[in-house]
Amino acid sequence: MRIETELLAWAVLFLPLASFLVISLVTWPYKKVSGLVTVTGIGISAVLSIWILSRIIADPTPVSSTWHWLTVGSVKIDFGCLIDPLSASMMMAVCVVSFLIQVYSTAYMEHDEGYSRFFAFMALFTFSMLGIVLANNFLMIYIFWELVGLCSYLLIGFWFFKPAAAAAAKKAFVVTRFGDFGFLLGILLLFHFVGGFGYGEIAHAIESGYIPPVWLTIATVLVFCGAIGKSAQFPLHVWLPDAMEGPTPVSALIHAATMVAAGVYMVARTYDLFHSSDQAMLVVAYIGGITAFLAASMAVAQSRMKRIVAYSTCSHLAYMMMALGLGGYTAGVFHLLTHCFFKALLFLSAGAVMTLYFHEENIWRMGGLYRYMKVTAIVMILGGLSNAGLFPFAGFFSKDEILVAAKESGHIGFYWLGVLVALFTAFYTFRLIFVVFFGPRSEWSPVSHGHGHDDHHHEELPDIGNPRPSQTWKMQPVDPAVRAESDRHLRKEPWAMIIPLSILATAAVVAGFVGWPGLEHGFSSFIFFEHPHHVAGFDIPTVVISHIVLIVGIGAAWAIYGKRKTAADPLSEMLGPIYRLFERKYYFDEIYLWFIRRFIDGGAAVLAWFEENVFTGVFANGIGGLMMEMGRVLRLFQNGLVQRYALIFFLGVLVLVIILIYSVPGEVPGAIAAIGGVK
Amino acid sequence: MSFPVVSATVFAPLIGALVVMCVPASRKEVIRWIAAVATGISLAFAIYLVFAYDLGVGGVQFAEKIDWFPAFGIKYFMGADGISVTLLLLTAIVGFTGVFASWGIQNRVKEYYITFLSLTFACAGVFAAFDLFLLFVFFELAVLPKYVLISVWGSTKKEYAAMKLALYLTLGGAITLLGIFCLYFVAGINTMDLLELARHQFTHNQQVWLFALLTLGFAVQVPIVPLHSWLPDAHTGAPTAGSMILAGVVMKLGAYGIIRVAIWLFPEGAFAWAPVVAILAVVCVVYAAFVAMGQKDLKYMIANSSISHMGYSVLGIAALTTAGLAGALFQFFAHGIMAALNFAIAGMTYDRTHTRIIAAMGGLAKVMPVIAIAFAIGCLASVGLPGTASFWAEFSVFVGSFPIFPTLAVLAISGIVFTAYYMLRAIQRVFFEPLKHKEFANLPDARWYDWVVVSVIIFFIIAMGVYPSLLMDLISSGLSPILAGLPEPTAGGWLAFLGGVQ
Repeated sequence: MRIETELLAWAVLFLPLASFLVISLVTWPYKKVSGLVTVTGIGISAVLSIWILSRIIADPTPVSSTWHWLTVGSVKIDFGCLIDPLSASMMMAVCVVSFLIQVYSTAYMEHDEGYSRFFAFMALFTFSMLGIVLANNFLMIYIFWELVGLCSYLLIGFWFFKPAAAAAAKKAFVVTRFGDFGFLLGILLLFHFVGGFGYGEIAHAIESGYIPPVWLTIATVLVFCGAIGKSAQFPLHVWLPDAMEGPTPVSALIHAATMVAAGVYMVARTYDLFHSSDQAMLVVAYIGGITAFLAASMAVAQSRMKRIVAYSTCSHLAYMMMALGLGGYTAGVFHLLTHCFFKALLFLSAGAVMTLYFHEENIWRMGGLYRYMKVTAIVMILGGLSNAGLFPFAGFFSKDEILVAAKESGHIGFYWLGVLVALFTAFYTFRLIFVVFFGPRSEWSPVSHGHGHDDHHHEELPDIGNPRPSQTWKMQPVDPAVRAESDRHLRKEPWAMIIPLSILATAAVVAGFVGWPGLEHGFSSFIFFEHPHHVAGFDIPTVVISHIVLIVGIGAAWAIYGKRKTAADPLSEMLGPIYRLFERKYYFDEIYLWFIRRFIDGGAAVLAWFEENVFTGVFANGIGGLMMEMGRVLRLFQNGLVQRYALIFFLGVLVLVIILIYSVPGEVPGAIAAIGGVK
Repeated sequence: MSFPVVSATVFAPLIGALVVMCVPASRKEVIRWIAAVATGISLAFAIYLVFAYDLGVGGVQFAEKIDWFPAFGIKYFMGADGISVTLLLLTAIVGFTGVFASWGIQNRVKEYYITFLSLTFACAGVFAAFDLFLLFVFFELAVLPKYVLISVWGSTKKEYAAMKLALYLTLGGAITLLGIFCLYFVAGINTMDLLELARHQFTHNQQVWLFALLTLGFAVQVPIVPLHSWLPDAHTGAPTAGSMILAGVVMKLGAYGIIRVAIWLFPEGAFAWAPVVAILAVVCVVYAAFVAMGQKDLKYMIANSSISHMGYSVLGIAALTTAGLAGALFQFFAHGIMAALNFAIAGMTYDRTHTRIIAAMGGLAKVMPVIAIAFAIGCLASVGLPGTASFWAEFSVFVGSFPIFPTLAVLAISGIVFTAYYMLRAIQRVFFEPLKHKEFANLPDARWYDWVVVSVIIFFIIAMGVYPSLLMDLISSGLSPILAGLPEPTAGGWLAFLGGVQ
């Protein structure tokens, strides 16, 4: 019996959710079992997703299936999946990368108290991302979009007892929520014109011209706001470096295959919409271009390992956005897929270094680690080469395609921007590798005071940032003898790390071949927009330029860092204030924080004061007080003095008499009626 | 005559209160269990109603009609349509969990439960009454127990808060009563039966002014800014279960009145006043969100966020579209249980730490993980996260109101960002980060009765988030007669004025 493809897809989607439910309801007290549940659940999903992909490769007709979910008046909401080459490939990438990360996590999180919680959240995260991938309508993508936001909140704040992690989690959620505000408006606007949420319905409405062009552009840009938030594009990229406060497998999952990839994926998924508006496409390209440069330059001056990789992610995603904005659909999607593998590899190897190296993250406390962790070093170098885009690594093929797409689009400025970013990429990637694995050991390396495998009791060292060469005399070097003793406790990579790392490394090396230009049934004839984009072969000038740039970047990194004598960043004094600008991330955080403090928190304080003093103080208590005062005054009439009562009585009679005298009965009945007279 | 299910749902808590009266005050445990059983029966009946209501037939079902004051056309007319069923379920959930949230009360347990059960009874009655007079009787009956609950078992400024609540609500009640009299005489058909009144054709002018009068009266209870000043004090001053029922059910009474009486009887009036109501709704959403952000006291923060969330309901009401009204009513339910959960958690932490100042807590998640998880779920529901009932409520309000009031809807939607900001900040400051005070290190986590509160409410939050059709279909069915009277929305002058998308 042949199992329907959509049934398989539902299984891929719901297995991780089932893992989450099983762990949170049943197995949470049993650490090992919980880990196993998630690894198995996502493992099966991964196998099924490969199966689905192979079917789609054999027969690329899109398959979809829809359940009715809810009807509110004229609004019909469906829960459906759409399996076509794009979603099948992405689903495969998400499942496989997530599965490898889960395997790796069983070793990485071994000693953590929240082991079960971790695996529950990871499964939920994978589920949410798969929901985005499979969604066949805007509302469903929005729902899973928000769930991804929730999971990132839970996982970035996994170590909620650390102030930095708690703050970073909130920041990630609120900043991306800001983008989602635009996204939701865009969806509502589209719904207003189309009367439905389905991608098909919207594509049809665009074709038939139901949507006025101006509103179409506005809606598209609003939808893109969501992608700006999730994919950490300028100006909402600020949450991304802070998100590194989560455990490393989380960073790998967020930054390789899931959360940040969601934005790019969404643009690709709803390309009908973007393609219909040239202005919106330009917005995408510009945002991508700006972010690619900003992030790459910030990566040059970071001191923490994961943050360097994080900015690299940000820059690569921006590269993809740029490609999509310039019409290079296939190139953008291809880079998204290859990037999944090599970026996961970089994060996981960074995590491996940290696990083995007493949970230290600052690269200036490392140096010469190649001798101690050869496997990690080798896979990280492979990942780095792929990241930088050396032939024949995966990154090369996809990056070159983007450059070619930029060239073909006629926006030659973007082409040179892409080349510049490639230069930065090669430089910062190898800055990281040379500083961590080569050269002398850092004078400020951490030392383990524990004996044996107990790596719990490492000291939390102060953050030294990027040490300036001229200032290193102020810092306290570690005693070489103590360091040598401590180095003997350095562990080797456990198998649960080596296996996922080697698989990812293999993928990072070979995955690009499916995109060999001119290949008969290659990637470009599998995933394309409207019609396949055929190229005869390599664009030789681009290959040459990108390799010159690559060699210059790596060479510069070697010249500056390869032969360093001390653990300080010579670049910091070569670039001066520019370096500081990069290091402080162009002061975005400071500017935003100032704005929030001044306008949001300040506004809240003012309104809270207003509430307390005006609404409560003046209105409520004021009117109450007035009543009390009136009561006090009127009470004076009720004083028990008979003469006073008689006086009031007399005055009343006088008034009545005056009224009766001056009003002729029958002519002015109102006056008598006013005092309650009987007509 | 078949078994009166609706009356049974409504009166079960009152009967519980009567039974409690007969038990000696020293038998605290017995009293608590009687209250639990009484509200439990009510909950069971409410769930039965949800499944027994026949959507195919629609209209008012399980009706019970007995003449009460025939001379004035007043009847004891109880029944349930889709809206009533949903809100009876809400009341029953909040009542049932409220009993468990009050389990720790030691002071005057007997009187406490009598008051609490009477309050639950009165609130439920409002949702089941289809006679205007009867509805008003329940509406007013609900005020007194609230006063007692706050002034006896409350905290901080309890006398002030109780008096303020009583004055505001009776003022609202007086205006409503005036409105009811006017409408009775204007209609002149000697009936208080809502179904018959709905068939009566009021003139345009009558509709405009009667709608204004009645809505003004009901608005105090919602509350709509600027009539909201009683709420933060009352919610904060009330004991835990009191806050739960205030935020969960009492706030809905007013908005329910607007839909059930004002809009149903005076659709043209509603249409005329819609822009005003919509503007006030958005003021509620944004203003209250900012005020909540500026609060230092956890309960004040949640109370103000409730005003903000009810603003969404009011916006949905003002839109006068199916999606808007359905969203508003779904928000009654979603916000009702979510606010009840948040107030329950605020009460649990207050019972343990004896402080409500957000900055004075911190790091409690390690000490009381269950409570922390529950609060996180409550906050995320408040943020309108998909997977919780609130998402559907907010989403349908947005979908329903966006085409009618685009500019206002955009402002209201911006509330989702602010809500996320202050809610997550509250979680961070109360539960995350390192433990701030050593003396909090040994505080107990959720007790068994806390577990009941938390798990029942979370079950409904998630269940309605995943399977919203259950209630949404009921609500839509209940709305159809109300919507039938509404004039077709036409792009008038004010629509263009507010930036209508053409």
